[in-house]
Amino acid sequence: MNSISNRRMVRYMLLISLVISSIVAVLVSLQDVLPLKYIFKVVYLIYLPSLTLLIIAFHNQFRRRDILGVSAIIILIVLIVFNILLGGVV
Amino acid sequence: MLDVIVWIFIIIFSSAFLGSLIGLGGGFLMVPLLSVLLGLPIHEAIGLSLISIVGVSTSASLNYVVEGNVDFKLGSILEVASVLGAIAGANIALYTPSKMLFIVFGFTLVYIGLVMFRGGSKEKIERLPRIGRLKMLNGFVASFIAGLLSGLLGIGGGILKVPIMTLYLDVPMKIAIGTSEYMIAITSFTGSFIYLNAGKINIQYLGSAFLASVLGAQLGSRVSLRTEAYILRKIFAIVMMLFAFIMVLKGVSM
Repeated sequence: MNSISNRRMVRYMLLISLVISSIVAVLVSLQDVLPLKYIFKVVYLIYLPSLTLLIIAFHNQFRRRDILGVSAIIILIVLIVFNILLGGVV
Repeated sequence: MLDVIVWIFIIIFSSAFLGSLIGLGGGFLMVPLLSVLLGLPIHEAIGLSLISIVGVSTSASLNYVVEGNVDFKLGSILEVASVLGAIAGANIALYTPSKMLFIVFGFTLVYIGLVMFRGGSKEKIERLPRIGRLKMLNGFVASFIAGLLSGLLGIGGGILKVPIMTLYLDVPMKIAIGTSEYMIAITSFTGSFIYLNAGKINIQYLGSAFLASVLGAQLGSRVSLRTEAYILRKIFAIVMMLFAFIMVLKGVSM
């Protein structure tokens, strides 16, 4: 997070993910009003900000060549993916 | 239905706003208000609170990440324990009767209230210390417990994670707060996914909850720069004791 352009990019990434998630959450809530039943699973897009943070963390640790940090994030991603694949019950 | 959605917006907006004023997520306010005042089932209140905390913590992280106040390495290592705790906590909560959850939440609020009343720990050195293996192990176990309580009760767990980092691991306060926000975003994501997938959250409430949390957190973090957090913490501590009493009473009378 050293250069100004990096900081700006991180800010935009998080802001955009928050905006997308808010829009998705509102659209999903309006499912009775809008014909959204075929894209119902879009509801999981509300987790976009958390995933964006994880990507930023991975990029940060990868750039620093920090093996322990990168390994921890990979374990986190594996745990999250297993949690998702197994339907929330590991 | 519409009045419930409006009430959820008001409750989560004010909880996120007030929580952000003192550097917390506000889950400790959301769950009691949603379950006691609005009368939502406690499992639904916990799930909605966790989803809202995703919005609050990411919104707050925005500033901390950009200012370089997040230690991604330490946060990611401790977060492995927290995620495991959150998965365990959320699954336990799904099979725990509401009565029990009300009582456990009530006693947790007493602890949080006491920590808040005593005030934050003093500012430590402004550089990251070397963390020994034993200290790291302690931090790992404590993070698991913080994650467990987060998944079980729908709180972000910042009130536990910040003291873990400042007291056990000698991390400077600013970095501890920033790192805990990053951790909370991942913990609450893991926990709330389980509630959402188990069908415990009414998705018609998602829009108002998520939007309110993002807006409330942004407003709260901006206003917090101009307010005295010390007095607010004391007031919150007293309010929380009151909530604790109500929740234990409700749990016992169920």
